[in-house]
Amino acid sequence: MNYRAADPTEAQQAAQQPTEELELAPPPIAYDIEIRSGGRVYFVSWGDTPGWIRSLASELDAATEITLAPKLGHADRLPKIRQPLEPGQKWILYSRVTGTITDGEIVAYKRIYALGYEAAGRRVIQTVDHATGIKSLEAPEA
Amino acid sequence: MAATFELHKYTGASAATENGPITGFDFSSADNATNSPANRAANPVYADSYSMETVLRLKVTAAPDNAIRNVYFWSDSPTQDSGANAAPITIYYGVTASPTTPTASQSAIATTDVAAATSGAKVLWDAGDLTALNETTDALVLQLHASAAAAPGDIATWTLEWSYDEL
Repeated sequence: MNYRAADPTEAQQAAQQPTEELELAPPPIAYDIEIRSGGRVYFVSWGDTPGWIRSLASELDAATEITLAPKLGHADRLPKIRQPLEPGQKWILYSRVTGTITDGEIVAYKRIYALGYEAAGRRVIQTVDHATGIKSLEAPEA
Repeated sequence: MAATFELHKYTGASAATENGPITGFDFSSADNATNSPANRAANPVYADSYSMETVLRLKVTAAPDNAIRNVYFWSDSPTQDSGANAAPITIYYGVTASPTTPTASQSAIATTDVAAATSGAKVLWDAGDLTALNETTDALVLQLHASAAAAPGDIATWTLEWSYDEL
């Protein structure tokens, strides 16, 4: 049959990607956030606290340290990471999700956590890979 | 509970029919959301022709705490066959807020060779913040073109990746 298709042969596809192992969603966030500001520590259950950036805006702007603490059940494999903040340093905090389609099938979702600061053109970001728990000082690609 | 941001394929008039979430898609000649060898065999893309446009959006199915932003896509895979079947297969892309009805003629939206969209030169899929349930990104339109010299068979492995930041 004369056709062009995006995928390899059926046999290859079956071998590469059993249907029951397909991932429809990325892994849930496994960190909570502790914001040290004005002599107090504010706790955020990340993923379960709608609007915390807005509600804690002043505390975040005055923060002297932000910590990512593993949620219950993840402390044995994910490190706790702290980011001290000096005056004038703008905090950076997000989780980046990457999805991959190979041969027409979603084969992977990857999540990393990024914590750092930006000041005077300098950008420092610590990252932790959700799957491996490996911590890195390399900034993820923009 | 983190945000859930799922991949959907859109078909039909004005690409308004939502299908999914999908776990994959075919480059075929049919405007459907089926992903199977049988679908590709039944709806082949012949040499010297275009596939049906594939219209993809990411959709918020569980809202983030604050926002989802910085949605990018890229592909580091070659899209050409190798070896004896070296005739070029080209995959084109375009991003639009208002996709048209998918066509198997040359796309007016997917006009840029995806080979230029690499991990070193990611393409912005959506420039805004997505904050609410059921919000979607702009549409990523893909279309495969098989040259006149293309031989029968499956193309080489091709990988599409996307990323977003959850706040």
